[in-house]
Order: sequence, then structure tokens, then C-alpha cells
Amino acid sequence: MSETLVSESLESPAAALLDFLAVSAGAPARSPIAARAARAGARMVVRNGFAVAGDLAGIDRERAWIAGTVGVRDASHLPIAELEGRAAELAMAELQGPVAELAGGLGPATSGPGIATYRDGGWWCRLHPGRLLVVGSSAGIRGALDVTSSLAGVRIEGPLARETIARFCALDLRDREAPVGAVRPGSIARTPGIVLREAADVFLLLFGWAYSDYVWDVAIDAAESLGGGGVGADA
Amino acid sequence: MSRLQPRPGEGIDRTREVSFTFDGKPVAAYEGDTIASALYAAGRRTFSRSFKYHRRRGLFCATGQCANCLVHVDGRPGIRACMEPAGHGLCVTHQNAFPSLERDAMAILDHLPSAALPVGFYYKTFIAPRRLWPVYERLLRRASGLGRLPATQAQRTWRTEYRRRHVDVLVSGGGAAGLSAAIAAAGLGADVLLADEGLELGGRLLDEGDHDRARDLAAQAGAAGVEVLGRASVLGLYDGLAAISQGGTLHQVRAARHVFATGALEQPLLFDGNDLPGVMLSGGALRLLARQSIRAGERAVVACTGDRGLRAAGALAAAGVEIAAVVDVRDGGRVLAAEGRAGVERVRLVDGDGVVRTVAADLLVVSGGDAPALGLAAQAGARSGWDELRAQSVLVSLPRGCFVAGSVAGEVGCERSGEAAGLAAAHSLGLGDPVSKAREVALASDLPAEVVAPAPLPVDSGGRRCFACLCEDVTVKDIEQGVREGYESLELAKRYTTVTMGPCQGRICQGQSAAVVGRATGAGREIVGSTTARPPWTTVPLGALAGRPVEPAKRSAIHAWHRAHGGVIRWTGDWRRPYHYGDPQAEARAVAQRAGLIDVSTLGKLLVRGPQAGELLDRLYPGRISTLGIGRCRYAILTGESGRILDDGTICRLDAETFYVTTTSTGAAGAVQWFRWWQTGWGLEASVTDLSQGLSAFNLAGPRAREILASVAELDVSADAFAYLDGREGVVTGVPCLLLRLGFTGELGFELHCSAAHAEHLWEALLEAGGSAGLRAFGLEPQRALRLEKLHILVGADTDAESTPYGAGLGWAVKLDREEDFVGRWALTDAAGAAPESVLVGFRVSGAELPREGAVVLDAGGAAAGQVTSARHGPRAGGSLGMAWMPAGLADDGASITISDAGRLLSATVSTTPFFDPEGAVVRS
Repeated sequence: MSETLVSESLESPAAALLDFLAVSAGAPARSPIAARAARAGARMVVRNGFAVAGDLAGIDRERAWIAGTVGVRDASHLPIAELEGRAAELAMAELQGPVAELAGGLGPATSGPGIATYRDGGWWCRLHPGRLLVVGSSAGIRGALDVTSSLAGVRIEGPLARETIARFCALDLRDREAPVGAVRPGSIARTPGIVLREAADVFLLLFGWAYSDYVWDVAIDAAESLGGGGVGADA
Repeated sequence: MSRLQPRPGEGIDRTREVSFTFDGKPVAAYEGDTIASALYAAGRRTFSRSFKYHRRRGLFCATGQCANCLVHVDGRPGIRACMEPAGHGLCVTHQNAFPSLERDAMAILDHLPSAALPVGFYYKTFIAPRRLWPVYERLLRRASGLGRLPATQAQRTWRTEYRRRHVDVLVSGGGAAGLSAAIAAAGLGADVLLADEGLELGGRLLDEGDHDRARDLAAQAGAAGVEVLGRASVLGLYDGLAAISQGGTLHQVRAARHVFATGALEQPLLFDGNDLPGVMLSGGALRLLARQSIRAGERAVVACTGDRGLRAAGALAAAGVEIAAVVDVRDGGRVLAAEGRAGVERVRLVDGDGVVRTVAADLLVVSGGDAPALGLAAQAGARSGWDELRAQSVLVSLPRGCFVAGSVAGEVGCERSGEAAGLAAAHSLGLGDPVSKAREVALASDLPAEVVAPAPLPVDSGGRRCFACLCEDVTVKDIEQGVREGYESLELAKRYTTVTMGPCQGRICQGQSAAVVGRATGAGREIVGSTTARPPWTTVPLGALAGRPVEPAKRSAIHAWHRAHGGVIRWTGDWRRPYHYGDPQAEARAVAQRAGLIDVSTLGKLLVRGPQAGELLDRLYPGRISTLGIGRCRYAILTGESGRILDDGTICRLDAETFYVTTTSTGAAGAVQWFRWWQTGWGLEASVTDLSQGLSAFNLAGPRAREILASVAELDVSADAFAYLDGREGVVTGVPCLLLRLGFTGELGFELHCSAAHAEHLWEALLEAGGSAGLRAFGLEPQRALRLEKLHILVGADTDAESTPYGAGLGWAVKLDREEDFVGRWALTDAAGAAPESVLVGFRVSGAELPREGAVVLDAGGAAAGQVTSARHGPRAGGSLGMAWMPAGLADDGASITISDAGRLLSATVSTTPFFDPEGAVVRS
């Protein structure tokens, strides 16, 4: 974590805790599709404190989908933090420095609008000058709001990942237009969302928590039509 | 047998036989045949029955332009037999004929006098007596349409995939021009997608025997990296989005550049009997010959307005067809009639010397010139005009980013034209180099155009069965009659006669219909113009446009619990919510007597933060928010600039710079936009974060609510420590929560807000903790009954776009005594200056009857004066209660009113104070 981000206080001494926004280790947390996964007989595991499906159709089969066609994985347990206003500006200033080479990517990402930077275990996504989303890491970021449960997520993985997404999303995700690290706010299955390209064949789709059932249905329908399906956290 | 011996370049593989059935009888075919070519080779000449008169219709264009060969294939209606490959095992059946294609009972309509089915008959008949309309409607519905869908959704087993695509260049059309354009653009590095309807790329090159060149161009395109969508119809352009139907897939393509290489549409000729089976466009006859080695007839008459027909005559003669006569309009010849019982047997014609004669023939090949296929370009915004010299509509201007190539541009050098268009498209994207740019200029400088004679109109209006529109069975006389009745423009004639409104979408009929209108009105062809080009450009199943059958819906984090416990789920805005769990009255009683728990996660929830957060809210709300104490809540209404109620909710101050705002469930999205829109303009140092979906919220209400909460909360919830309208952060059953002391139901209540990830745990823990105290879940319906007893309004149900806070009895929430401006201040100041004319008040009905929402409040004279907005049986106060807007003069406490509801007259008494706990002692307890 950068020195600036951790050292400068952005909160008044009598600031509210806002703990009710966050997921607590003191109580079980569930992914929004945990209930349906459990009903479908999935083996449940805990990830980041969340109950999520470990596997849905058998790990070997799911791995074959990811290797050969496409797998759709629940990623709602990913920590997500949101920075706004001055906190976002400070973080952006920090991110203007050298950017790490992305392992397995199409090339080095550059920080800026539409491109996320991978740092400290999370994707720092600049949505607009005054708003930054950190996906995959939320702990200890000064001035950040924990919005983990505001945005649910699915990861679409495999050689047919882009094709699967094209079944319900009109964003331009061609390699040239959306390289690894690309962040694209837009419509996902007719609901507001964000697409983050994490690797050549891995896309993270973030959308409103309450739409999870619906988006999962849509994504699975598309994946199954292409020979893939839903996969669990262990696949 | 019309199948010829093997010919060079033919598109069928005679080593691979396939078989399908047509109306239950087996039909032999080769791979490469279409259903139509196989049927034609097997001797079938009648392919369908016409829309209105049920006349026999044969293979006419054989290129997918007309509706003559529509059939059912494996239960799917409206399939163009000439474009559908003959697949092994297909079940093909005819449509629009009963009991059989050869003996159609409805063909009697063709023998009725013209007066029985006049043009525009649907506007003239079946309108009296009016009481018989339901009968007419049933009859018309049974008689109309062409194909039949399977009766139930379950039987409609086909599925449409939707693919969103982005490309640099979309080329529509895979003939010589389209292929050349695609090759050129891809050669400069553009990402090119080409869509073509045909079974094989090449367009007219294939039909006219130049198979090798077609296949060479196709191979070049593949090598250049062009992605080809074969058997794919570009349906239309929707604000830059091209919809392309390809089998079971609908591609939705956004292209940076469009190249239209849609070719030209061969036009028919007008004469009596021009729809008889055996009358065929020259392009169709050539296609059958070149691709499937089928001779379309034994003895033919060829009638044409240009060289295309003459070339066809030569090709047919070379294939062994006896050419009985050639009628060239340019030499003064013309066809008067095609005659025969089930197909062409004779052709009556006038030759170039003016001699009328009758020629025996089983095939009448017609070619009325080419009309550029402008539909897609026109949808993109291209403009066209009439070119007298070329006797056709031509493009006058193209929108930016669009290019045309080949026959659609009126050019005959298709490959040069295509290459020029492809280069231009790529250059406009910043690709290419000086050499390629010089090449584009050189190519575009000298492209020849073909000149043909205009197709003549029949002198005698073409007899009784001279069809201008084959799809809709509209004759020349019909259009002329329409003009006499006042429908003098092509657009009006279209709407009145339905000409151009059939499956061909005007491809075959628009030119001659325009010519008929022009002659009938005396206006020139250039004045008549053409109809507006609209999607779809070709036939498409409606199901393909419908989308996948999944509806976006928001669901609470505990939706599964609601379903598992008998929740009756209904739509509320974009949410799916439990209205009740089977017994709303018992649920309401539980809240009133013990305790209830309701999922209110659908509420809008915003966090407003920053040094100027209070000022932001002061400007947005008519109430004063910045004075709210830390840890305190306030009810607030949100008004628009006109002072009307937009939304309502509560605001809790969490610290000096942080406010937690709730809105109504259905108003949440609007409120978020409203906040951000104003904040963007004001630029205050404050941020607005929408937490509506991230936080769940439950309302624990009832006399035993505190006791239940105390058993699981890690904070003091006593009345002294946690007073009405207090807000506290605290942990409940291990879950960090924001707790608000609110009472929408009128009972002692706590609203618990927490991360949606913990919702299920918290919900179940509360129910478990309250089980011994009689706690039960309750739904929206009992909540609405309980709140009604308190006269708490539901924005959107009890208010509308004209409702002011003063009329709704909420004037106390407006603070005009402050200096700073706020949204709607001017309008509210004005409204505050006069008593409202209409007010929202409660009423109690005398008796048990309940008026429906929307029932009318009558004034003393019995006139409609107001409207009931809510009505329920009171769970605590008893009786039939409601709220209604009514004139202020009727709304005195205790006044008697009359409510009219679907014939019932109900007496009621006005109440301006809540029916339950009017002093608020319960809710504050």
C-alpha cells in the first residue's frame, strides 16, 4: 500500500464507523447465488468469509470447460472498495507512477481512463476522475467505502469467454479495444454493470447485487449454449 | 425431368443424395439443392397459394426476394424454399392452402366478383352491424396470415442466440462488389465482417456461370482475414446497429463503417396473369440453371427491357430450352397475358411489328430491369432520387461512414466498384497509405453504369389479374381505384391497398407500384418517389427479435427464503417482492399484537458524505436537513422544481459529514439520478453513493419488537437509550447494522440495515429469536394496510405528478423560513400562499364494503370530484378505511362523502387524523 494512501486521514475524528456497510467476520456471509447453488446440490466452501459453491458440476468437468470452452464462476465474494472525491484523486495521483507488468496479459497496462491498474492484490479501476473502484482488495484503504455487497460478480473464463459475454453484452471487448486491464462500464444483460478484463480469457463482470439471480441465469444460459457451464470456486 | 446432365461449376454434389418430404411425400435431392430447386426438379410448379385470392403461385424469383415459395420446414412457418438447403429428413409442408395445395377451398375467392373484395375491403366491409364484429374478427383471424405457428410455446423448440459484435467494416452483400470491398478493406488492416444471404458467396457471378471467379474472390476474402457470415440476412439498421439473422443466431453488429453491396433487384413486368406458375424472373431461371443444373422449362418466351433478359435467353437456349419468342420492350414488343389453368400454357404478346399473337410455352421469363437494392442504405440515411436516363431510383447522397459498391450504386464494374468502396472505407478509418489512396481515386474515376428501358405499364390496366404486388395480391386496378378514392401518394396507396407491405417489403413491387401511382395521378415517377425504408429488409421470425425469455429482475438477498416460506411474489417496480405469505390478515394481526418482520431491502439507500453533504441535502429537500442532530432521523419529502412530490423517505445523520438517506423502493433509481444531476451542477464538496442493492433492510415492528431485538443486539435498545427517530450503529447477532427507530406501520419499530451478504443470517436469527414471542414474517400487503391506518402516504400510489406537500397534508415538512435556496422553492412559496384546492385525507366507509383504488369521490351534486388512492380493511382500527384526494371543501374532519365505484355508492366519513394511534404514543413507546 502506498504511503500516501495510508497516512493521510480523510475522516474527521468523530466519523461514523460505517461498519454496517462491510462484511464482518463475526457472522456468516453468503454470495447472492449461494442459496440456489446449495439447492442445486453444490458443495459449499468459504471464500473471503463468504459461502460460495466449491463445485457445481464436478471439478474435472468444470476445469475442462474452462480449458476448452467457458466457465462461469461466482465472484461475488471479491472485496470491493470505492473511493470518491479527494480520496479518489489522491489514489489516482499515486497510480500515475510506473505500472507493473501484468502476468499472463497482452502487455503492460497503462493507468488512466478505461484501464485498471493491478496493485496490492486488487484492480484499481478509475471510473471517472472522482470515482475509483478497487476490486479484490478493500482492507486498509483510507477514505474507502466497502461496497463489496453492492456489486456482485461473475468471472467468465475460457477460450469462449468473450463469445459468451457477447450473447448478453454489447460492449466492445476485442483485444485491440479492451486489452487486459480494460474497465468498461456499460449494460450487462440490460442492467448497469462493469466489465474488467483480468486476463486474455478471463473477464470479471460486476453488477448490482440484487440482479445476481437474473445475471447468473443469463450467463449460464449463454455458457451452456456454447458447451460450457457454471463452475465453482475450486475448479 | 428438368435436371440436366452435370455442368461445369454446378453447385450440387451428385454423389451425395438427400431426401426430404413435402406434404408427406418423399422428394429426392442432391447436396447443394435448395428445397425449391429439388421440388422444381421433381416437377412441382405450384409452391404456395396467394395471400388474398389463394391463387397458385410458382417459383418466381428463386433468389429469396419474393414470397411465392414460402413453406413450413419442420414446423417453422414462412421459410423461403429457394434459400433453404434441402436437408436430409426435413419435413416440408405447404402453407395457406386447405385441404391441399392443388385443391384449395379458399381459391373460390379468386372467382368472386371484384366488388366482393374491393381494394381496402377491410376498411369498407365487416364494419356493420357492429355487434357482429367479434364474429368477423374470428373469421378474419382464421383467414389471415400465411403460415401457422405450433399451438403452444412448448412446441416451438427453436432457439435464437444473440451475438453482439463490433467490427471496423461491415459489408452487406457477398457478390463480386461486396467481396472486392471486403478484400480491399481487410487488406489495409481493417477488421471486416461480410454478411451474405446466399448458400455460396459470389452472387450473380454464380448465377451467370462465372463460378471460378466467384470462388476465387471468396478464397481471397478468406485469406485476407474477412469474417464471412454465410446465409445471413441483414435485416436492418437501427441507429447504426445492424441486425443480421443467420439461422438460429441474431447478430447485433456495430460497425464503424458500412459498405452496402446489396446489388440490384430484378423487376417483373405487368400483364394479365403475371403471377401464373411458370412466369419467372430471368435471374431465377439462370440461378436454377447455373447452380442446380435445372432447366426451368421446355419452351420459353423471354420478355425484357434490357440486355439482362437477352443474356438469359441465350443461356437458356444453350441449355436446351426452346426459345419460342423474345419480346424486347426496346423494340416495341410487350406481353399482353400469360394464360393457363395451373401454370403458363400460352403467352399472348405483341411483337416489335405490332402484331398480336399467341405463343405456346410452359415458361415465361421476364426481366423488367434492375432496381438498385437501396433499402439498407436508405435505412442508414442515404437519399435517393429518380434517374430518368437509367429509369431507376439512384442514390443521391450517403451518410457519413457509409459506402456503396456494385449494382446498388448503378455500376456494372462490380469488382472495381467494390474495391474502391472497400479502400474508401478503410481510408476513412485512417488505414492505408498514399499508394492505396491513389488506387482508390483511380478506381472511382471511371465506373460505367447500365442503361435500360423503363418497364412499360399495361395500356388496359392489365386485366383483372395483373398484379402489382404478389405478396399482398394487389392488382394494378386496385392501386388505380385507390388513387380514384383519394389515396394519391405512394405512401397513402401503401396504407390503403397494402401494396409493398408483404414479406418482400417492396423489393419486387415498389417500382411498378410507384409507376402505376404516377400514371394514375399524372405525376412523374420522380414526384411519386418511394416509400420509407424500414426494417426488416427481409423476412425474419418474430421470435428472433424477441430476445431470450429472461426478464431483468431485482431480488432481495433473502428472496430464496421468501419463496421457500410461501411468499406470494409480485412485481414492485423492478423488484420481485413477497406480497404476503398466504394470510395477510394474520400477518397484520401479528404485527399489531406481537411482532412482525418485513423485508424492506428494496428501499433506496444513499450515503451522502463530505464537508458540504448537509448543504447538498438542504438544497435538494424542502425541509432543513443540515440541522439534524448526529444519530437522529427525520422524515423528508423530495420535491421537484414545480414543488410536486417526487419521493419521500428518511434521513439519518451518522456524523458531521455523513448522512444516510432512504427513498421509496420504486423511486430509488430516480432519486439517485436526481441527486447526482444536481450535484454535478452545484459541484459541492459531497459525494453520493448508491447502496440500495448492497444493503438489506428489515423492519421489526410490533409491541414485542424491542424485547426481541434486545435479546440479540449488542447495544442498548431501551426506550431511554434508543428513542423514536434515533439512529445507531450496532451489532446484532454478529452482524454490523445501522438501526433506525422508525414506525411506518404505526407500531414500535426498528429498521435494521446491514450488508446484503449477511441478510439471510440476520433475518433467520431475528425470526429465531422472536419465535417464542410470536414473531412472524409479514409481506407488503399487510404493511400497506397497517400504514393506511396511520395515513402514511405511499408516494406514487397516494400521490401523482400534481401532488404538492400542502395538498398531501405534509406542508409541515416544507421549511420556507430559511434563507438558502432549494429545489422547488419558488413553486412551494407560491403554493403556500393559498389553500390547496384538493387535499389527501382519510375516510371510513359506513359498512364493510371496500371501494377499489381509483373509485370516484362525488360532490354534493353527484359529480366526480375526487379519487380513492388506497383502501383496506383496518387490522387494528377495524372497518373499511381509505385515503382519497377530494376538494378541500369536502374534506373537513367528520364530513360525509359518497364514493362511486363501478355502480356501487358507498357512504363514508372523512378523517384528517390517523385511524390508529393518532397521538403517536405507540410508535414512540
